[in-house]
Amino acid sequence: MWFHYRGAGGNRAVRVERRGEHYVVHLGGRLREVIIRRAAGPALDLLVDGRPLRALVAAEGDRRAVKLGDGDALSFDRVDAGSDEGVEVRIEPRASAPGDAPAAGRPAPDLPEAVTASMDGQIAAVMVKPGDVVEAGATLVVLEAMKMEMRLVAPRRALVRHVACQTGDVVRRGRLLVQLEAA
Amino acid sequence: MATRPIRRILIANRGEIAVRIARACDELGIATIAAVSEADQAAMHARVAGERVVVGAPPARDSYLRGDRLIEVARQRGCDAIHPGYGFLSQNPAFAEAVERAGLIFIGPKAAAIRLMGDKAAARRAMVAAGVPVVPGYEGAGDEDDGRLVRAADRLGRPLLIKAVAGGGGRGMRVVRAEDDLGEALRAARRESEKAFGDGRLFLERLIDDARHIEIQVLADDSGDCVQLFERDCSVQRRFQKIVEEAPSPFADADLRQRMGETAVRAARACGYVNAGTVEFLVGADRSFHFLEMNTRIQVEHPVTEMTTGIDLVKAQIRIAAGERLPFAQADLSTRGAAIECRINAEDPDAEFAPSTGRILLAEFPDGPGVRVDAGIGTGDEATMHYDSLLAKIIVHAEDRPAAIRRMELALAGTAVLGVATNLPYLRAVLAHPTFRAGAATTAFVSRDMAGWRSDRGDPEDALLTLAIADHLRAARRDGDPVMGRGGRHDDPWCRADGYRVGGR
Repeated sequence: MWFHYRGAGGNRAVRVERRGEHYVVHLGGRLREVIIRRAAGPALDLLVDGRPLRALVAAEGDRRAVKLGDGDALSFDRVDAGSDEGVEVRIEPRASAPGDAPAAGRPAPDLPEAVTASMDGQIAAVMVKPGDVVEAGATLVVLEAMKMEMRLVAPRRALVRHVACQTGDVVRRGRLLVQLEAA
Repeated sequence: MATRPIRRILIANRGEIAVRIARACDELGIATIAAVSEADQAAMHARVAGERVVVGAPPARDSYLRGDRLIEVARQRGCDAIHPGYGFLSQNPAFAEAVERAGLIFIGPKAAAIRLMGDKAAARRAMVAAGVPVVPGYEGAGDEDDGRLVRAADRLGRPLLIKAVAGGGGRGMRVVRAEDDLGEALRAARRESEKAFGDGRLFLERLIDDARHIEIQVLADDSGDCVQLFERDCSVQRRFQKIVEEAPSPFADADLRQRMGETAVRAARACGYVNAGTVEFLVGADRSFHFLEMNTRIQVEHPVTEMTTGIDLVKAQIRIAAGERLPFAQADLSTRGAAIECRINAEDPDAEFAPSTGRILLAEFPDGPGVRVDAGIGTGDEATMHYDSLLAKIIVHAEDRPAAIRRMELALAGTAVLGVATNLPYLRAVLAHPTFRAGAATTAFVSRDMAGWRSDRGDPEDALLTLAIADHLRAARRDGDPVMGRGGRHDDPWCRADGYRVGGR
């Protein structure tokens, strides 16, 4: 059975096969023999090629989080790999919005620039309106969460094409807030 | 002296401090009522209190800052007193007065002391009058215009700190170095202060860059008795926010400790202080110290003082508010060993410490000798955008500082918060840093010694393998396939023993 996860380093595929009392895990072009010594709630106690590995795991929907032994927590999303099943693919980290990544052969400054929410939060202030020309570093939107304010600024001199939020809106990380284009 | 019995307390706060207050009340046999926002109806502080009342919508201004509503609820529910915790209404003199006017006890100092210390310029003047050294600066009459402030700045030299007269929590503050535009910085600080406090008044202080932040805990009762419970060193700060605190200070010697303690008592007496408070000082490398401000409330970092002195500060607050006298004199107080506190914040150290919100999928905290956890969340709870990012505090106490550091390293290693990003990797790096370990951290530690820090979470292959095994166990269980291993039948790892079930696929 194949499982696919997306993390900070891209997409990774893992295959797990049960062989009687133990498991064979295919990952990164290698096979590992895994024995589950104990699985009690979120705590997993494994032997991986004879090496002990203790972990805590948690999930919600497609979100996955794991803490190994005494280490720090890591987060992943479980993804549907579709026809890619069985093929290990690495992809670049997600662009913040469609249209953000420059298409091959075209200079980036000509492309519309999407300014997206850098965190979950509430829009504390919208400083621009469509048609404004803003200088590099100008504050476009002030986003607020947990008593912290974050200013989203223009990356370069630009024309404000579209404002997709208003003061008081509650937004999720990654949502489009302002669309810029070359001025 | 007349005592006023306290039998029921309304807790006008949330998170770990509300839980902490409820615990103190339980020990004293006092009933508790949690005033909660709509977002917090199932939160830990709502669960541990004897009763809970929803007071308003999630934004703090509609709930935890609704003084009139909180007082109304306290009266309706037959409370004798309101404990404001820290933040929110804890340092609002109008609220303290309104509580007393309603015939209730405000667990904290009198409104006059809150008002005096809340006006940072007036507090400076009062301290100067009481012979307490203040940071060199200029407050004038407290409402100086930009012209006067610019002229004063020229006399003071650079670097400078612009501060809000109504300030607190780092807001309305601006550092001005030689190359910076003072006029622009004054305008920005005024705007920010107007917005945060509805008060644009500013004053200036010389920026003491490489100092230690050392504060003294005081307790005073109605009879005029006032004692100090020694110092806490809170020099490890990021953008004026404390993240690691300890007692005693690795920098203070007996002489400095005694001089600062006596000065703090003098500062408290000068404003007729009653209840628990903290006098904050900046201490230079030459062991000169200057008054920064007085916090007229219980502080986040109070547990390190509790661990080293053996005094329960929250219980002391309640007893003092009930009119009881301090049960000890200064000569009865001493400290034992060393204590450290680490604040676990929902912030992503890989994204410039941006707040991280969402459901806590798993929270596991350390235990063992000398380990204390003051948590405001548990597995399944929500870290919402409406409130600050403090999730929990890990506090350790050991025979000496090296032992406390080691104990904290193990405690942090044994802490798991899954589902939101936390500053745990950063805290572990602070504890591991040679400057911190040598007891040499100043307020410049984070910006100077930790500047190059990047999280290193290593090769994720073991993590991926573990997740795939867990997902496989879940799929096998869903298909009705008994999953057996050496230890017998295994649980579905996504299914919590406590009945909290997280969604899976």
